[in-house]
Amino acid sequence: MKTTKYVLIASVSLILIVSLILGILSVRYYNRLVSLDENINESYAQVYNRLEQRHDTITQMVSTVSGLQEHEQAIYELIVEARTKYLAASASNDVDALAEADALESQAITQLLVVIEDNPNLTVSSAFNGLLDTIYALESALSVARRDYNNDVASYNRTVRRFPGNIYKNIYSFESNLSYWRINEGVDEVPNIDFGD
Amino acid sequence: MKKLLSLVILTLTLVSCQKSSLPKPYNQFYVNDYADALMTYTEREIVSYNRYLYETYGEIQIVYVTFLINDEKDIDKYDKTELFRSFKIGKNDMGLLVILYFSKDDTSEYESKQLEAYAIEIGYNLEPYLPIPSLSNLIEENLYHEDNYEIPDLMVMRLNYELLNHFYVNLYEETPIVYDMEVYFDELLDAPYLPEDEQQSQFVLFYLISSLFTGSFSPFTFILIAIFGGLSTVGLIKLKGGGGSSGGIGLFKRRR
Repeated sequence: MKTTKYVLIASVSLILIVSLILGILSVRYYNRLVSLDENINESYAQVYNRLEQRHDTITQMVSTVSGLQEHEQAIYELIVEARTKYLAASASNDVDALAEADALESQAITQLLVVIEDNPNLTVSSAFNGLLDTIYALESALSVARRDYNNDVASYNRTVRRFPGNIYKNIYSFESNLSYWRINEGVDEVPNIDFGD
Repeated sequence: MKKLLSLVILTLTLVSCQKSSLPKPYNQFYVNDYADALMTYTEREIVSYNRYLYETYGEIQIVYVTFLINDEKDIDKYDKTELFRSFKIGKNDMGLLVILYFSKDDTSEYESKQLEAYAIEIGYNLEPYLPIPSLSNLIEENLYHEDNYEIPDLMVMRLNYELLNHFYVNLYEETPIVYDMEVYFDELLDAPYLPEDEQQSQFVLFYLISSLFTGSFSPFTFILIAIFGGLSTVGLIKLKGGGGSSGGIGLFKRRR
């Protein structure tokens, strides 16, 4: 009789301890997944913010160049196309489409700089060099923002694929595998052109 | 017990000595002259001015780092954003990192260093106060000012005065610092010689003192080294970053 009582107490205690451990783990993993998810949201917002800044700067930059008429159309078309893609991608929260728009605007910048370098008859206003510095600064910031985003995605994906993260991910209905910010190598590099002062 | 204690201390020492790919900031924090391009007098001047700015207003930290380069590849050795983040410059992300790349000038009769390039990294929340076009002008005008005579100390000091004045005037609505670079040059020439490698000499000194007390190699020696080896060359205090971060905004320019 006494033995049965002890076994019962031990079993109940064991169940309580296991439940407690599972409960603590469950709360811990839920909070961890929320934090990782929030980090990604912050990094995404940072990339988007930089893309906006770059878009504004390149639009200003085009207006500082005189005599661009024959090339202007092609460059503007690239910028407008990139802008349209941004808005569509942003509305649908499509990271791949946003990365595509990002690459397209980088191409527009490169094209603008190459056109200016190849045509010495084009005149640039005094604001041009300052805006060019801003473009370089924003390219550097974009590359950091993309890297931070990808690091956060990697950290999230690693957690939800590993045990026991994969179980908690299903319990709390978190997403499985988030996409990285992919941009073709070299596309985001603005050519280093010296326009003098 | 003694063996166990020695083992624990040895392990802790080895762990703390683990090599990081990024250089650690000096104890004086505001000037990290890895290229050995600046005189100790200039370093101390900058440290006192920049420390005053931070300790008075509690936000902005302006930090200088110099690297000695042999070729172009050396410039890419360290990422400016990673360096900023590892130094944790500025409180509330209000930091500014100025990296100066020097090369040895072999044409000169005396040992001298020539500025090859510079990189600037701005903390997230300092970005609105330092628009890139005006920062670029400020740097170019002061770093390459003809009255600097290519002397690294004058280049850095003039730039620092102007950066400080930019913040004092535009952020804190204070009167700017009045400075005279000719007077500073005279002060620099009259400045007494101060050994650069103060930290190492302190380290050795404490090692010797502890050895005298203990008579031999013991855990006590390790404890003394761990405590005093980490103290600053400036008033035995280790200055630190305010926990700031940055997002890659800044400048990088090679000398034309």
